[in-house]
Amino acid sequence: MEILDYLKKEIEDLDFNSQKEEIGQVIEVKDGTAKISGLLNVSSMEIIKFEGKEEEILGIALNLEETEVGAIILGEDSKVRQGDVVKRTGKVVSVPVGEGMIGRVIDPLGRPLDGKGKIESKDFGLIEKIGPSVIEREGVDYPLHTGIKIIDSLIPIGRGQRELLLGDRISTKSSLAIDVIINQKTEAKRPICIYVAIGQKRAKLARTIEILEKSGAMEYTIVVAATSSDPASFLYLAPYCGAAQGEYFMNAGKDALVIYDDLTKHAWAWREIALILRRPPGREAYPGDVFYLHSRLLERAAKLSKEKGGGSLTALPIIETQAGDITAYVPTNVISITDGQIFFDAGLYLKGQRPEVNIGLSVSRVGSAAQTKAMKKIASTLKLELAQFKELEGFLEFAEEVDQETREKIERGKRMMMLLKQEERNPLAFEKEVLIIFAAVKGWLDKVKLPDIKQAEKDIFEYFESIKPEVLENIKKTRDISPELRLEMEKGLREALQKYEV
Amino acid sequence: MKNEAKIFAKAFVAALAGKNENGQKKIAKNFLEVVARKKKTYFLPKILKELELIEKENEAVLVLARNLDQRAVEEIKENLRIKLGKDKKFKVEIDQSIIGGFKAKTNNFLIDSSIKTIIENIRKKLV
Repeated sequence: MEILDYLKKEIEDLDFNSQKEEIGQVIEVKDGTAKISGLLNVSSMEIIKFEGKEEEILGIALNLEETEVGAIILGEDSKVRQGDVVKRTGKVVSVPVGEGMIGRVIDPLGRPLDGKGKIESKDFGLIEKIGPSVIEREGVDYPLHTGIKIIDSLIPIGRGQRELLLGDRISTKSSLAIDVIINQKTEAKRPICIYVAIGQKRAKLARTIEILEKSGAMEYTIVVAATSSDPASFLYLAPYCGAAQGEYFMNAGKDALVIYDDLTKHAWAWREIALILRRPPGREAYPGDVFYLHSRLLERAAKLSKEKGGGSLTALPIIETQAGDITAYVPTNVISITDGQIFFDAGLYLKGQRPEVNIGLSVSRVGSAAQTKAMKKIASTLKLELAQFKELEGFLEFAEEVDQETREKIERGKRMMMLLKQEERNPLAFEKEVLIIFAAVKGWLDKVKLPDIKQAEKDIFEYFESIKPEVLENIKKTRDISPELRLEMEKGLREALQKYEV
Repeated sequence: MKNEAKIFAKAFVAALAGKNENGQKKIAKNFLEVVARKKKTYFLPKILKELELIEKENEAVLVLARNLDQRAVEEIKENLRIKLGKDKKFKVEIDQSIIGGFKAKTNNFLIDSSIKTIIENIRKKLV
């Protein structure tokens, strides 16, 4: 009975008065774009509807010309035909956002791809939005722990920062980014993670999702996917959709982390669209606005002020370089936009360093402002010792005999380099990072033979986890090394490393 | 920069309005004379294009499900001209698939009062 009443009401409420609608007609369709005559009052970036024979397909008006409109088709262009009616919707492109998205895999229009049913969401986020203004922002001061020793100690990333990951095809950029997501599981103020896959193979994406699911990271992660078989328009929209998802959490006073993997493909997709829409090509055939393409995206990452709720959106864009050339067009653009970069060196990769981060070319412009007191205390020594080691190492190739002090420096440097190596899928909790770097810079590992370093590291963790868990707990809670704690750490290290005494 | 060809074309159409066949012929001759005197003959292809556009602008299609009597069709056209513009020239098409009502389409606008669309809307509402 209820259904009947409901239906009756619905039908009674229907408005049969037909309105004058603004329309246009498709005059040309090519490679995911359409040329439309009419659509007199359409605005830029407005969603339009192609009324095809079988189904409605959405599009976005991009080129507004005197008598024609150039649009991208969000769907299969083979279903749009010449002469099809195109209607205005009066809406600019937006996607559903909210808590319901967490744990889901979506396409750049917010539609589920994981077969887990409909996504309930009341809120919508704009795809194109100008980032927070100057007064709405605040300095970055809270660390985003990546769980990678070399990054957290030497190139710290703060919440609200934009740090570029760039490197060649073979490098482990994506893999490191996924480790960063996995590491957030144990973090105190856990950020919501958004992984935007742009132009990746479906198989690779499926593997990534499987890794995230297995490690339990999907609980706080949203995956936005535009794979290589999707039209260029989807690849173009994907990062903006990811930013919109993150902004929702930032505006709610929470922290969010968004990874754009990778923006090179995004620039390619935009180049493809721009060329087909006959926008004038510039350097490397990219359109003139390829800088703005990325700057407006990355400007949306921010740390909001207290008045605005204090939320943050951290962005980790990824760029693929060709043969280590970081001076190409797109890499230099994105380097200049971001607050620092982590350069993955193919040479170091082949030498077996993992992660193959080139410390000399990597920088974080936020610097130690985004480090905890504990990390600050030990990382400054680490930086200095590593720099000295690098210098001596080069010098040593020519010198045969060195004095005692120099030899000690070199031996310690070698141990530190060994210690900074870290396998994939093995992010370390912040307190463990502090403990092991403390051991290295204070010389506790000097007695350990070089091949035994990794074993010694394991022994130290095992010892502290089973016998002195309060020490780790203390570092985690206070985020500082007090003199008493330092004594405890030293005592523990002495016992843990006893078997390496000669 | 002003689109001069468009201005010429508009002036020509305005001058033509309300003239009989002989008058139109005379206007056309005079128009060419003016264009030649202003040394703008190289504009003629562009003017022609603009004229075509104006012509297209005034084209309109009225889709009906079946043939109605002349008076009813004229009445619909008259009312549509109030909504869509007085210069519109309607071409009547018969399309049984719209079931009933009518559809009026110009280059930029659409008024859809067909039974098919109404049913379609009900379906969308209920699904």
